[in-house]
Amino acid sequence: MAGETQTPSGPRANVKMVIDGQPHEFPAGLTILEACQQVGISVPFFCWHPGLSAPAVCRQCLVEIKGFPKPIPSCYTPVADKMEVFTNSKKVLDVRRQMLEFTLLNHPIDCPICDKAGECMLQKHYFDWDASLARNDGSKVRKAKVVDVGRHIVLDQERCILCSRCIRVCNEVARQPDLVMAFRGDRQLLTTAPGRRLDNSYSLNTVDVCPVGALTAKDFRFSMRAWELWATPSVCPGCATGCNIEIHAARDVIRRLVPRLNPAVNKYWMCDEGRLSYARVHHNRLVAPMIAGVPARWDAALGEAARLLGQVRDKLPSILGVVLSAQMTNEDLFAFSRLATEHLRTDRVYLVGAPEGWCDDILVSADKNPNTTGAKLIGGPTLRTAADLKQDLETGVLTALLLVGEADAVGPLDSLKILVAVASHQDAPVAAAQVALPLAMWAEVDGTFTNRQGKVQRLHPAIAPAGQTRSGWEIADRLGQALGSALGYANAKQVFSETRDKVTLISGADWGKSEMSVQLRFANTRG
Amino acid sequence: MPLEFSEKARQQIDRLLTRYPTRQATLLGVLYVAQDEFGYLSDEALELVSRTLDLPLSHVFGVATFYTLFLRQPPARYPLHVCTNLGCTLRGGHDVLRHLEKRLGIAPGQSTPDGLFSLSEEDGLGGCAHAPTMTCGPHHYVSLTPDKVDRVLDELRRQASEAGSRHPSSPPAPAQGVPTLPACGSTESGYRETPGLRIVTKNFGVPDIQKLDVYEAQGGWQAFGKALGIGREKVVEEVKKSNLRGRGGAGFPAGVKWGFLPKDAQRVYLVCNGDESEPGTFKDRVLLGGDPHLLVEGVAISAFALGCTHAFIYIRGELRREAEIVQAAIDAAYAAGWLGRQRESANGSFQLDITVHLGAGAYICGEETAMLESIEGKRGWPRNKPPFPAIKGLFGQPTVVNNVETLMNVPDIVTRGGDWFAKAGMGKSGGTRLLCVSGHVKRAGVYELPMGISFRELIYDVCGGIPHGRALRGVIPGGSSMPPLDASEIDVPIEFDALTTDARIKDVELRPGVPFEMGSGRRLKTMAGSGGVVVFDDQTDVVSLCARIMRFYAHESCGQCTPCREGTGWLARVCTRLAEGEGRPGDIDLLADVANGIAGNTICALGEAAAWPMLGFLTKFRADFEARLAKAAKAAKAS
Ligand SMILES: Cc1cc2nc3c(=O)[nH]c(=O)nc-3n(C[C@H](O)[C@H](O)[C@H](O)COP(=O)(O)O)c2cc1C
Ligand code: SF4
Ligand code: SF4
Ligand code: SF4
Ligand code: FES
Repeated sequence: MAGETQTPSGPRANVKMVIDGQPHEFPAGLTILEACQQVGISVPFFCWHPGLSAPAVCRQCLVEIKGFPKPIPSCYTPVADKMEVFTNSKKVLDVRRQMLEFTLLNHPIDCPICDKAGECMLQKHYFDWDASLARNDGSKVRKAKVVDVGRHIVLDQERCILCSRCIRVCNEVARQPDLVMAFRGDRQLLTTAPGRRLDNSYSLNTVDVCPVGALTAKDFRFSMRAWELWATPSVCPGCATGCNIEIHAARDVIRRLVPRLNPAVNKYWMCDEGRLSYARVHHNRLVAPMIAGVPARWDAALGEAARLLGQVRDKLPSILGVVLSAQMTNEDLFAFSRLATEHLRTDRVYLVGAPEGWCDDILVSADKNPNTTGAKLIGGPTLRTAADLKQDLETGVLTALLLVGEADAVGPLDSLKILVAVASHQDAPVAAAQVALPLAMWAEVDGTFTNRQGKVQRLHPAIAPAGQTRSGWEIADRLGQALGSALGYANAKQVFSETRDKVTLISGADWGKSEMSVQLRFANTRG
Repeated sequence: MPLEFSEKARQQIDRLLTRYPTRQATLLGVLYVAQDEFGYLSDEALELVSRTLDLPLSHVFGVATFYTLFLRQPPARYPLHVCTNLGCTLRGGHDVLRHLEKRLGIAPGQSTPDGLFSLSEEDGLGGCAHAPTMTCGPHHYVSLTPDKVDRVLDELRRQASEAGSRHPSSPPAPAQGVPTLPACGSTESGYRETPGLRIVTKNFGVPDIQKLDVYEAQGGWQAFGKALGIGREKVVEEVKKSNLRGRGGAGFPAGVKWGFLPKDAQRVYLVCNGDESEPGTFKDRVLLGGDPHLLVEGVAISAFALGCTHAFIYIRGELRREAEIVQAAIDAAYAAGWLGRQRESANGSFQLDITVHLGAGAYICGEETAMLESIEGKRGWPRNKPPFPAIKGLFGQPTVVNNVETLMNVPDIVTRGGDWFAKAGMGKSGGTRLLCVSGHVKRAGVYELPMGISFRELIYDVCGGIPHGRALRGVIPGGSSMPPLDASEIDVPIEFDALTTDARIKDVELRPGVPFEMGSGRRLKTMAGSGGVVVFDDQTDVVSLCARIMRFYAHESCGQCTPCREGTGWLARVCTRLAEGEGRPGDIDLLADVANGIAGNTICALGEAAAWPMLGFLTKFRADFEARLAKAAKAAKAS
């Protein structure tokens, strides 16, 4: 970069300035608010959001700058050389309290029945900066409390502090202007146009950015107190984009998914469809091993599966197929690929997955599988397709199948003599299988997905595996053992390391550090 | 079936589309077309506008609900709008309103069950000189009394029963014996001739001056020719020399503002601010109707000087009649080739287009950046500054905004020179000053007066003093957003700098002895503002007057930024309860604190426009507030 050669002392043209008496250096172009955040100075704000334009309407972030007669909005004003900023002068603290008092003036303060309580910016700023008694002993401007604004969302117009963040999400992220301010003054209302709904594909991001409890998600409303939730970093399984997310769960039940910042993938956002995909984790799961449709113990089921598969392998390998899914983690894919070649000695490995769907040029991919890229890299050039599988089933080339992952309509299964399924759900193939082994899902395991950009992204278990389900790599390992020799894995990381060594195209990938779930409390991530 | 526009409406829309560089900018105009066509803006009408302009319905809805002149309900046949703002409230506006409430049996905001009448309380209809006033359709009834109100009602009822249901949309005819306000520059419009130097009203009194040939016979458009000849740099230089200061409120030197435009700007816009809605101000209304060609010429010369080829004149929606007069003047200037045709100048050929943009009922659109948003077809939400309009203004281009009166001074500056203009004024303020006097004076009206005349001279010499032999209590010096003066402060000259610095004016205080700080150690006295002088006598209920002002700003806050949106409403509620004898202990300090919390912390100066008079009234008339509070406390104890 040009700047690097110009200023040997720093990486780029920096500005030198003073905040609260301390000298600092920042890259040019930052706002004062961002600069303060970089050096750990807390300046409260409502309307500013790092992923959206800055209208500077809430005035909560006002600071003093030497030489300026009036306080200025730090969210809107760029840093400049020799600037002297005060974030904790008496004047600033007074103004900060005053702005909070204004924001609270017509707010109903119904925190005890508000979904956002515990992760509400208004609550937090009030406790942090004011905490004095309200002087408004008059009446408040009343507005509608329960407005069904959209498929997924309920609006409480009284709680709305008119920050316009949600409008900007619709305009700037979803590019569909569903929300608007109507009327003016303190009668101003956040609303939709008459007869219209908040129904864009990214609508639930408005709930995330709403600094208060004005916009709430129907699927989460009244289900759980925010501070009882535990957050676990993960990746959305909804499509090949691989939006980074947090899984919010309590007592092994997922309550919601929320986007997690990744500037290179999804920024601050995720689509509604992906967000609601968690429902499948708790629905119609296969939770115990089955032999001929009857629950069995793990070792019995593994033994029976090994017996059946061993039989075919030892007869005529060409008729045994192994079906893997683009919904599986890299680790599960790699372990089962090894099992296919080393134990089952078949080169008939097929990749299936969820059918293509709609897409846009914002986030959503047509490929509804989170790990097509990873599966193709691991499977290599000999990997066969879903079409191959369908044909081979229809023509009866295949007589035995090891079906792994979520694999719905793979083709007619009647010609099969042997079907062993490793599955997360009680779908049709499972009912037909002689042996079914219960598979843990993405939210229950450690592992990685490789998204459409080729980024290897880490999943963490947010909840305990349902029933007796187990990770795919572990099932492969045990099945190998039952077939003669274990694959020799003790954890997912080990599988990952081996995968990385063998599959050259992901050799740069990093397992990353393992993150623990954290309890939410006052989680500033929400808003 | 979905609504469709008539052929005529479609033609109007096509014409609008030629007058703006973007489709969205025609939105206010197209909403007017729809409202004229369908009577009001139903959901279906908004859908139609959205479809016609290919704009999101949400945007159209947001805009339609921002401006109060856009009706979302079918209006009554005769909507009665009663002014209760300063000029009117001081002269019985509330009596008129109460009388109408009684006669019609409805409250403001309601309609009579037969759909004949609706009643609303309005803010400054521009007839302050003839207060109290009320409008119905095209008629602006003035100098009303309960008796005259009855005559208007009787006449309207008679017309309604005569017309039956046949002509539901025919406008009402005026009522006998009830004067109405003409749009043109006659005495009845509120203008009063003065003997001294007249610049912006020099042609007032010339019959038919609204006609182009009459205007030209008076020497009109010669200044434009001269300007083209001497070149734009010279015009700017003369304006700089003239000490012409903005008449819109802030008194900013026009030449300096013009100098802020980047030298290399490709496209520059000039916007003439004729939104005049500051309570107590009615000079621009008189100017627009009185000498529209002088305005057009002033705009043309200024546009030439700035290198602007497309200028806008923004006219307050309530002044539709005046807007039509200005449009007619522009049409005539096009026909005569002054506009829309290439003309040779010292800087090469120059051609100008002028678009009249009609506001739709939003005081905030007088704020220059809100005005730019409004022209662009949006809600009138002021912009954060920087960037200032001179750098990034209308349609993202460098823009100058000047008041009507400011620009109407430009032709004479070109003709007679900047030095002459500067000398005609006082100190650093060149020229004359239009003052609109209303309230308790014998001769209210718009006067062109020497810069620097004192309030005492204005009230007692020019306006004939205070009626009914009463004494002066105080003066609002320049529109209701300026802190008032008490009777002991009226000897100061009405000049921009004097009013901010003269030692005879007390500093505005937060509490007794604690001055209000404007930042950087600056103290607030008052300002010349918009020239709207409101005089009130010793019988005035000052607390109620202040509460009325606070209700105005709460009504007009655009709602965008928190301190103003919430604070103005709070001031209005607390001040009103205090005025009504229901004040609570601590209310006076609360009002001061809230005002102090608004001032300086908002996006635009509407915050100050509410906070300053609040603090000013508390400073100058604190005893009135305290007495009202004490009375409330006593009443509470007794009950
Ligand atoms: C709330 C508010 C309302 C205003 N209303 C008007 C107005 O009605 N007319 C006007 O000329 N200026 C008004 N102004 C001032 C304009 O913003 C702007 O300064 C002015 O038009 C510039 O013209 P001038 O320099 O010729 O005075 C208003 C300002 C504010 C903050
Ligand atoms: S609903 Fe929430 S995000 Fe939207 S404007 Fe209101 S407070 Fe802001
Ligand atoms: S775009 Fe894809 S990855 Fe992102 S949230 Fe939606 S479904 Fe999930
Ligand atoms: S100060 Fe008032 S009028 Fe101005 S932007 Fe803020 S809310 Fe709107
Ligand atoms: S965060 Fe800066 S004004 Fe709202």
